[in-house]
Amino acid sequence: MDDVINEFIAEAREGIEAVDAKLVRFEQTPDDPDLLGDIFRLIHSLKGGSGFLGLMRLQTVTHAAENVLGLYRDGTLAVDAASVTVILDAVDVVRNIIEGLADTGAEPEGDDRALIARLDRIHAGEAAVQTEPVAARRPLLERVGGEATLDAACEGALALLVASPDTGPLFAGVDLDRVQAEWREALCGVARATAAPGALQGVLLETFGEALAAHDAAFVQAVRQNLLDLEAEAEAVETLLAAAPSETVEGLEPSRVDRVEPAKGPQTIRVGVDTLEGLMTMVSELVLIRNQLIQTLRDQPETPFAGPLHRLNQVTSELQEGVMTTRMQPISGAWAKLPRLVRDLASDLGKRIDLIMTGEDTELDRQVMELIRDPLTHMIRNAADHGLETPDQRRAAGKPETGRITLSARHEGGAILIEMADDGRGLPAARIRAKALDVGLITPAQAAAMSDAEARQLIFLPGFSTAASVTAVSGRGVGMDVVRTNIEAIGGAVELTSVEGQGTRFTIRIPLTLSIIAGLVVECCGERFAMPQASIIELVSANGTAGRRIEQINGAEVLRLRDRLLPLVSLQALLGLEPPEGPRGEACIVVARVGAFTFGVIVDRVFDTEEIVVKPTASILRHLKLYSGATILGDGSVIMILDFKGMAVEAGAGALLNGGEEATVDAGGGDDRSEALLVFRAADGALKAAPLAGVARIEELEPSALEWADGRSLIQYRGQLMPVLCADGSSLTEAPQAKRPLLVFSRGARSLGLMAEEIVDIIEAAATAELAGSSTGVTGSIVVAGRATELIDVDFYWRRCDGLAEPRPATQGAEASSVAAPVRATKRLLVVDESPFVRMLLGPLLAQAGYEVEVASDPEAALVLHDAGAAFDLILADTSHAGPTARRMAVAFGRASAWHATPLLGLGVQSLSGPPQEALLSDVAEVLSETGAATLAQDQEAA
Amino acid sequence: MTFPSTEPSPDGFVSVRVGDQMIGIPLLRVQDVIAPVRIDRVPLAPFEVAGSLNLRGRIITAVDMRRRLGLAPRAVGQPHMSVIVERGGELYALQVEDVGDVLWLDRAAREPLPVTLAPEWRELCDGLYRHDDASLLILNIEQTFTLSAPAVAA
Repeated sequence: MDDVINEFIAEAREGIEAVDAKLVRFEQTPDDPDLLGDIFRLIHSLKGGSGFLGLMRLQTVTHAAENVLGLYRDGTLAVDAASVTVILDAVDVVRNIIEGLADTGAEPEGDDRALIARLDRIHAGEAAVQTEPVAARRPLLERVGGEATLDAACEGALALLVASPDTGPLFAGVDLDRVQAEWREALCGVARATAAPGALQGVLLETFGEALAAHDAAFVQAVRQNLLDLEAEAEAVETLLAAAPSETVEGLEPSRVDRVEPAKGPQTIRVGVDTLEGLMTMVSELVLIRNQLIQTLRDQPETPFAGPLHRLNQVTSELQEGVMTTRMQPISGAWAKLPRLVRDLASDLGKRIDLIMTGEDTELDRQVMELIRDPLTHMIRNAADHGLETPDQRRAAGKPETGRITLSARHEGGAILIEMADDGRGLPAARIRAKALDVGLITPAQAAAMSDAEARQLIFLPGFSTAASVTAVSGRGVGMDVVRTNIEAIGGAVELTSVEGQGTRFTIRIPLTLSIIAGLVVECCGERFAMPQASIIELVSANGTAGRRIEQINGAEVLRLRDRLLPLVSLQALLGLEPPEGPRGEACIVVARVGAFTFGVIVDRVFDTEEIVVKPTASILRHLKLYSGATILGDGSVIMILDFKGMAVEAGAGALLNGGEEATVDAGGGDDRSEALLVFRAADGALKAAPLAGVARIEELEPSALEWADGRSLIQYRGQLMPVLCADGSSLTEAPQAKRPLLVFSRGARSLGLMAEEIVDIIEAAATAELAGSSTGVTGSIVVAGRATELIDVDFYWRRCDGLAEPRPATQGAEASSVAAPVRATKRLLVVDESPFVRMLLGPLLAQAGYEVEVASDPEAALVLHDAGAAFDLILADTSHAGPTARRMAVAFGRASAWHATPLLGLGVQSLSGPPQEALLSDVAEVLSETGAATLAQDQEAA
Repeated sequence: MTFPSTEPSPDGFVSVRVGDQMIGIPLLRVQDVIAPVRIDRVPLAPFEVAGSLNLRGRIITAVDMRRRLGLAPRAVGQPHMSVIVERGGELYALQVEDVGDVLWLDRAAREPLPVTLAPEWRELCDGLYRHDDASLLILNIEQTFTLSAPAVAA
């Protein structure tokens, strides 16, 4: 009997899961008869089963629910939210009972009277209005308790009869499901008056023929008794079961759906999960043996076993695939509850939510599916509760009132990609920061140093909840950390992107199966290991060609790969392996990504990619986080499977894994001229970008490490004093409130630090930026994600830092510094030109050529520079203007007595219509000679 | 612990030799006795773990009983055997020098461990029997797998 109950529970669970989703869909499309038919059948078979098993509580609830569903089906009751809610409640009760049954083997105690009263009210309310027509149309069926009761009675009667020693033998070799269906149809036919009385007896005779004769009465009695037990009206039962005046079996509806159903049944069978697991283990071992044999075959290609071995190889692969398929289930299994969940949430929260699901057919291993069910539910709940706004808020924000949650699944490269997005308010980075501070997850310093993207990752920390208030739905502080842990536990990863005001998107990547993975076999110090292929991005050889070699930064190994610094970990060091004697192979680097952290693992040799069967590590080795399992190779040796996450943590990137600042934006790629730019925010809030190639390192600037010497802000960095500048090129006047990212540029042995407010991103962008004045430290501007971003001129900062102690007025020349102790590395030029075009073009050009360039827009501005004490190696002045301008310039230079020793280069524009150049120059020269200017360069340069 | 008390006496033990000591491994826990096979090292594993081996497609973790008992490592090339025992659904190989007979010993003859026995041995053994003028220590399988502190991480 236990088996029967278990079977019933399994079936009921499945059914209930489906019924939730179907009811919600039904509410939206009430005129879908198939859908209603499904729902009705599910509830109905539950009722039948519970009657058979004597589960009274379940039976009464399903019975009452079925009544209401019956009204839907007959079209006498409009499908509305209120009644569907009641039915959903009933389904909940059923679920509870089933779970109780599963736990204890008996129906849990409970009082369903209120629920049944609600169901009955709906039922009666409708029936009251339509008593007459209904009674007239279905006199008998109504009175015996409907089709369901008849079915249950048939089932009960059959069970009795099969168990009875008298009638039992009659059923040998008979399909009980079919018999039950036939009986039910016969009785329904009579009840609906579509069949003549005595239909049951007719069917009986048809099935059992002459053998029935002696037991005819017993059969009918069994059905009668069951009907009465199910509270059908006695009188009605008698009418129903009355013997036929003649033996007519005609009149049954020929093509009822129910009739077809039993024939469909045998196409699927229920197999215990254990059986499948066992099968899977066996196949795994078979795969291993196959691999071993294939290895042998490679060594001895001439063996007479070659043919059979190839066949075995093929069959094994197919078998493995087949067994895998048996474990695969569409992801809709994990999603089935979600529509209901969203519906309930929406009504609880007073929101309007559309749940759009795509890719429900995507199949994945049932083990994996079980493990993602809860995380998914939780995330949907979060999205509905925190993510989406109320209709009012949405309207105010100019969005449609109905919020939208989209859930999609698809296969991608041996993994399942599940995306869950909402179009809600997004994750407010500021609030998350504040909240994390509040609950003490981060320090104020950390909070201040954190970018928005980093801050959003905080929601994955234990004990974090963004909800301002704890609602019944979520916000209890158990959440995204569990989600992430669960997903990562099965080798998956969850990523998060969010735009405030526009929504949040989670991307979950999970492996298809946990049992067999593609693994890359590598060797280090003579030992072999497997690495999960899924996390590997590329393999790089670091033999020094193509400029790729392993560099050391303070003992930490890095590889410069496509202008990125790739942190490296050495497998040898990580595992404490003994380096073998003799020369080692050329180092090979396996580049892998864990979350947002990309790093390289140095190995000695890379073999092949193999399908490996993952076996759990022995429990006495489970504390070794570097291994995710073990496997057996084709040659029979046992190797460990490395866990990239464990390696990353071991390598000290644990914090980074929780951060994930590295959100690379691919700019289409393929453009050779584009280069990687590091985008950061300056203290004044402006976005700036630096060529990543020029950035030697990014450090964290400890406020306490700052020192001042002679008005310059410095830190001790790797045994040297390194100047630290603000983004505007000035020294820091005070230490920042918190840690700040520090961009370190190197030139020779010297370093220069540029303090940023936060690192925003690394992007690929065309480096051909607009030209702009160089004296501001900006070589141009680019557009990053719709915002103007200044491309900094690294040289400017070098000059700044070199000449910082000497009087260095700003472009406008407004203020003057005091001391002058110039130690100049480069020649300094002054460009004086009224044409902005010339200034913009010449300035950067000369700066690029290695000169330090100041630009003055007119002679007077140049004079201000002179008065401020600036000294130059060469002055370039526009001498193409005639008359007053030339005179002004001459006067200005005449006054600039400190510059009289400075060579002057005249610039002229070759103009077709202009006056002869000589005249101009002589003009200026004349004036200059009057004032005693020392030199006048006669060279001309076309600008 | 290793033995349900309802088990009728006498108890069966697989006698093995580790160093000079005879040790009895409860028979019901023993699945197999195998000759030396290729063993693959597991870096970072606890000191006592000799490595993993492949027994008919199952991965088995080998524990070197000499190391477990704090004896000097086995000389290179010295023969050894592996006793496969089951623990918590997993299989482990106990590497010993020699495997002897299965002994059926009367439970009544079991004696307590001498108090002078070194603590690391005491916790590994459930008791001892006298057999053929030698002492047979009874191995506690559970305790055998309570290994020393994990190997020092690199």
